[in-house]
This record gives sequence, structure tokens and C-alpha cells, in this order.
Amino acid sequence: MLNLKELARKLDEALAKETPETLTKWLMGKRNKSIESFVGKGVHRLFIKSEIEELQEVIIMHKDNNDYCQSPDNTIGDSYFAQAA
Amino acid sequence: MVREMYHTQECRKKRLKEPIICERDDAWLGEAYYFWDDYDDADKWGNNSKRKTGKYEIYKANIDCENVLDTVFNEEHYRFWLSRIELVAKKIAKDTLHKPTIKELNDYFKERGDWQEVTGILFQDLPNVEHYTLIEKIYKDKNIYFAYKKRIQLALFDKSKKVLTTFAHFVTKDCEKKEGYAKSKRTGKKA
Repeated sequence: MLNLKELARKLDEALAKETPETLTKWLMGKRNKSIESFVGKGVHRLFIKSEIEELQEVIIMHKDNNDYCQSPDNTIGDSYFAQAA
Repeated sequence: MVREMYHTQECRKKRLKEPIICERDDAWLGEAYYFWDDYDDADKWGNNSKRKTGKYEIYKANIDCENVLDTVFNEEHYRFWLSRIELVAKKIAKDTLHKPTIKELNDYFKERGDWQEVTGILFQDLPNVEHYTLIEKIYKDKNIYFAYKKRIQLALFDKSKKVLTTFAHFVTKDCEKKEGYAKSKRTGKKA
């Protein structure tokens, strides 16, 4: 017989450990895998690559315009690349 | 408790010795072996979605549901499942700004929540379409039917002998021709 209290405890423990970064990485990983299985690995990599290149262009453009405000720990760029990798 | 359930697949050259895992991305509860509670649902599924070879097969299985989360008949299990779904869905939506699908929630339970002891989930939907009901429309002028009949499925994660105690071919049937099938869907009678 299932022990619902134990299931709840394990789930609460997992949720307590999560941060927005870990959950986003997990969810995006699932969705990327799902797109990959639909369009094929190669096409999906190209898609991700073009997204990264587009983001890099935006960052460079902002830097060139001197209005690029980088966060102290570079979290925006890093988390994006971590998800896309 | 042991349940007698049905697994539908298109007719293959060789009879199946075990169920086939559903890896479809739109499978409601994710990667699992799916079984129908009602033979009629298994039959409709074959006719509707397993038409590739022109024939479909229905297999009958006995499944030990001791460690199945029964969200259909067990009130405690249902309320527990509902509360966990909403808890995790809120957390995911808040932290990622994306609403999760039911498949993603179920994956979360299994992978992150470590629910390895759950051998399956019994769940339902409530179709309110004409071919699923023997009762007249609620409003004569609107296509709204009272969804009184649960369509019950089991997403089984563990197909070991201890859980899936028997699995055997039950019947092979020809897919109805599209025209006849469409008519039978409308009338609820075989064409």
C-alpha cells in the first residue's frame, strides 16, 4: 500500500531544494528534448544556436551603445546559455 | 487489488508478449504503458488511433494495483494527487514563468520527487461528446452533453511480473472504414 505521507515528504524535500534556476533548467531541458525528438537533433541545435547568436548580437549592440547594464554576477547571460546548452 | 484492463495496439506480424511503452509527447501522464479500464474505450481507441495496418489488437491484462495511485475511485488518493499537482504547478509557474503540462508534473513526481514506489496512476477524463453518451443533450439548441461516464486509464510505470501478472491477446479487429466509423461515432451504433 502506498504511503502518501512518505510521498509528500519526498516531494516537499525536493521542492525545498529547488531554486528558479534549477527548476527552469529542468523544465527547459524537458521541452528542448521534446522539440529535439520532434524536429531532430541537428535542426534543434541550429535553432538553439541561432537563438544564442541573436542574443549575443543584442548584448553586443547594447554594449556598443554603452547602455548595457550587466548584472554583478552575469546571471542573465549565464542562465540563458546554461539552458540552451 | 487486481484489475482487469485492456491494452490496444495496431495489429503486428507477431503477437505481443508484453505491452508497448507509449513515448508519444502528448501522452497525458508521460512515458508509460497505458491500459483502458473499459473494453469499449480500448475498442474505440483502436478504431480511432491504431489504424496504420488496417487492424488493431486488444490485449487483456491483470494488474496488481496495490501501489497504484488511484485518483479515480480512492478519495484519499485523489485529494492527495490534486493537492500535489497544484503545489508543484504553482511552484513551477512562479519560478519559471511557465505553466507545466500534466506530463511534466508527472515527470517531476517521478524524477525529482523520487516516487519510485508508485507503480502507476489510475486517472480519468470525462468526454462530453455525442458518441460517448446514451443521454440526450442538456440543451436542445446547444451541443452540450452531460459527461456522466468516466473514461478511465492506467498509466503503468512498472511492467514486472509482480505488477503485470498476466498479459494475453484478447481480440483482433478490422478498423472500420472511415465513412462507417464517422457514422458510428455520430450515432453510437456500429455501422
